[in-house]
Amino acid sequence: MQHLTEAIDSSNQHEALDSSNQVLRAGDVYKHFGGTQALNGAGLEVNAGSIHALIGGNGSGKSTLIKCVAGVYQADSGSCKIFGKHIDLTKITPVVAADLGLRFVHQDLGIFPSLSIADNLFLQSRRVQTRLGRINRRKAAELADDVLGRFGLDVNLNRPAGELSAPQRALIAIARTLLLRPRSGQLLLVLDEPTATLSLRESKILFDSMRQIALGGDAVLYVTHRMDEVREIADTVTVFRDGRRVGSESVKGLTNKNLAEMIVGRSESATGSNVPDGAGKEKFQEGRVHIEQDDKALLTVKRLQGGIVRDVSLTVHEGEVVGLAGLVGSGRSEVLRMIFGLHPRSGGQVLLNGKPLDGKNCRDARQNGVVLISEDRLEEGVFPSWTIRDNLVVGAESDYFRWGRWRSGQVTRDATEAVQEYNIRCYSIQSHMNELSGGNQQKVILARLLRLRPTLLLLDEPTQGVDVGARAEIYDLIRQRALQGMGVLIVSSELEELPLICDRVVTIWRGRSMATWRQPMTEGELIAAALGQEGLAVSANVE
Amino acid sequence: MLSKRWWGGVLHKYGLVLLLFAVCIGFSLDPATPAFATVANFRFVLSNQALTAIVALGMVFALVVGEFDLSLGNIMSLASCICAGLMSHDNAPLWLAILASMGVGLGFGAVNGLIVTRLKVSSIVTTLGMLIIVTAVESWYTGGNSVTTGISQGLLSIGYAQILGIPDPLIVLIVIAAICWYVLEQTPLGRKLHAVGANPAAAGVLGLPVRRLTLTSFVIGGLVVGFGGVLLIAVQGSGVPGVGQSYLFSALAGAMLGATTIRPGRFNVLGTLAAVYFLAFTVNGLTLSGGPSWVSSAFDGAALIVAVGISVWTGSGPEGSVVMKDRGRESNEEMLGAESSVVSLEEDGLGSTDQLLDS
Repeated sequence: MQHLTEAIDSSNQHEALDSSNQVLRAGDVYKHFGGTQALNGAGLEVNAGSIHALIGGNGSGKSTLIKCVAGVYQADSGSCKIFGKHIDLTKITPVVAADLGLRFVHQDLGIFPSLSIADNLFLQSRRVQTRLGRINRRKAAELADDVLGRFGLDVNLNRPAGELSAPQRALIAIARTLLLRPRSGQLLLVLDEPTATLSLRESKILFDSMRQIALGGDAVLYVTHRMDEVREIADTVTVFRDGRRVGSESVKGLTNKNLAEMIVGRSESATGSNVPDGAGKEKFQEGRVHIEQDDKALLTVKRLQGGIVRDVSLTVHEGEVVGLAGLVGSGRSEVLRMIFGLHPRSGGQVLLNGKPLDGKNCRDARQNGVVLISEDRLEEGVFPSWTIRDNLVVGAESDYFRWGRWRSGQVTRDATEAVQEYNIRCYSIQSHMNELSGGNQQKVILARLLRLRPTLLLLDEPTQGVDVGARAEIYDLIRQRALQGMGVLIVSSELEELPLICDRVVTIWRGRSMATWRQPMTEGELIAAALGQEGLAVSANVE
Repeated sequence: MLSKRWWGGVLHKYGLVLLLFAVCIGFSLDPATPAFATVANFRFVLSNQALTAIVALGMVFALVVGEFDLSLGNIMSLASCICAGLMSHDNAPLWLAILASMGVGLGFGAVNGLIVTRLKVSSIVTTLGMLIIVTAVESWYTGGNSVTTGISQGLLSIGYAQILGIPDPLIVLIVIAAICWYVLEQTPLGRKLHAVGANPAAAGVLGLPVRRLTLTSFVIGGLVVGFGGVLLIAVQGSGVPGVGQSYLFSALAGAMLGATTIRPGRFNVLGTLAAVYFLAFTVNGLTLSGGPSWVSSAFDGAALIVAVGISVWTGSGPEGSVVMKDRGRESNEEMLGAESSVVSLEEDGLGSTDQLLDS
């Protein structure tokens, strides 16, 4: 306990010296990746002894800012003051950040389940080593008891960390960072979505410890996407959107509605005025999903269950583009993968043209004319060491085998044609796949699958990592093929894109299909629906 | 115009073949190795190394789908013992003995493949274990003795006969290599095997039966060395237990080095042949010039490392995960670096109010 009290004392001193009381002050931070401006003049201030929440939507830049400050990325430009010291954000490294007193706990906690709790705690710490470099067990135990006692954690240090519950592991990860005091004595603890995998009750345990830390004089910066948590735990909140700060406010008096508006970037009235009352929408009651009995449907999914998917029903007709909107973790990708047979189902039915698709393996789906473009292009899409030509025809091997020979001439002609038809920008069809940009790789994969003349195309985040120009082309292609009769089911995080290309969008929330939206629909409505009941209230036109 | 670029391409593709010629010419001109440039020596190396080449070809099948098969040399030697044993002890006709030999190869290949695909044991571990088991089976079957009597004379004559000056074992090798090349490069099966090796997950999403294809490649590899076992009897004049393992490392080095030439970045039949004979003639020349007997092992080991090294440096690593797990992906990430980091942000999701409703 001794050193902790010391640390708190010294931090108080520090506070007195630094009149502004700010442990972190970053401003005008710019950072781009390729053509994407991830940070566009972002800023953030965190006060000592407080819990500061950082909240924002997809690609709002909150994690990029954190990583720029942590030295994981180097910013293009930007000023930064950490514990009163000016830091050049274009040159900062993780080691410098750590020396200054920044501590990070990532979503992936870095807990080694097979090592003991004590070993996990003192992995980086030299303080418990004897002069000969051996670990002084008794000293380690004392130190650990101190820290863990503060969090009310009563665990046997010699047990493997794998036996701990999820919140306990998070606490161990946090405690580990606290053991390493910087010279200045004060810490800024940055938690990147630590509650993402925790239940509400489990999160509370974590919140108590965060309070403890803040009361001890250290600062906590808490990155999250859960609005209710912000109000429960944080003193101040900063909202990010489009690589900029939308606002920093005291949490007192803030409602979830205010927050949602800041995140989505639209006020209640604006959304309300955009859309006529309930026009062309059906709303399903949660749990009681009603599905139109439709014999003409190309794809019918009835009460699909498995993993985080609890109850999803939807239909796709020939020539129809259907979107599946929801948050990360709502089960949208899993729905696609279950239809295709890449993810096990535990219940429900999938019918293709009225015939059941049992989803045991992808080959069934594939043989029935269903193809899927995975969210993970590198892992499940490209054959990186192959040429563009070979990437274009893979999967259609039997089409190019005639008279006992591989028709490489035909392959080359077809590939050349496909490169032109799909506007794939490459030096030559003999170029390697990994020489292409993300957008062009995606076009190759799309071309590969569309050439197989599928009846149903499942797209999981088709525009992820794809530049704007290629995006438009990809969506054009999809629409074109839909006009020729192909059914399409799209999952996308880019909610603004769904209204542009979809005939219908099904929103999915916590593993359940909630509502079907028909044209005309707006991005705002989808975002609201994706946020669940709370969001629906914000959009104020569905109730 | 023969530009620098053109020469670069030639060196990249045929470097090893040129090196093979250089080695042969070099040792032929070297006064220290008068025995090198003799017909007898060339014939000896060509027919003796045909067996190494056959084991290497078997390995190519496993390597193509991104797996290893270290047990092939031993399977070949077991197959040869059983083949010879059947003729010697059971008076089996030659055709039956040949079928049995191939059956042994097919059987062990299938067991390897099933363990790898069904039980998901790493192929290195599986085939290493199988290597030891095969050795044991061989000792049990032969009692450690060579099978010298009762072997078909027709078969034995292949070991020394020649057609138009070309030793018969080399002709057998050429036939087997042609079949392997055809299967791997010309048939849909071969293309699919390559696809599995280049990216198993993507191949699965395309609807290819990844596990079955992996199993198939182990079976084909076994079949190839099963047939190789018959040739082994012919070359050695008897069924000798325990010789299989000596082929393992030269063959592995050959297959790996082969992937750097003819079709760089791809395990391929012609490259493998060139690599096996490059290693063989180099070792042969060094031995003739008075090099000690360990030169061969040292050379195989170095070739293995150099082969993988070349592919790392030139970025033309063989497809699949055999050599360098993430070679292709790495460069992909460099390329995508920007976008994929933005993508990772999108994983943040747009906020959820689950918890509020719970409370």
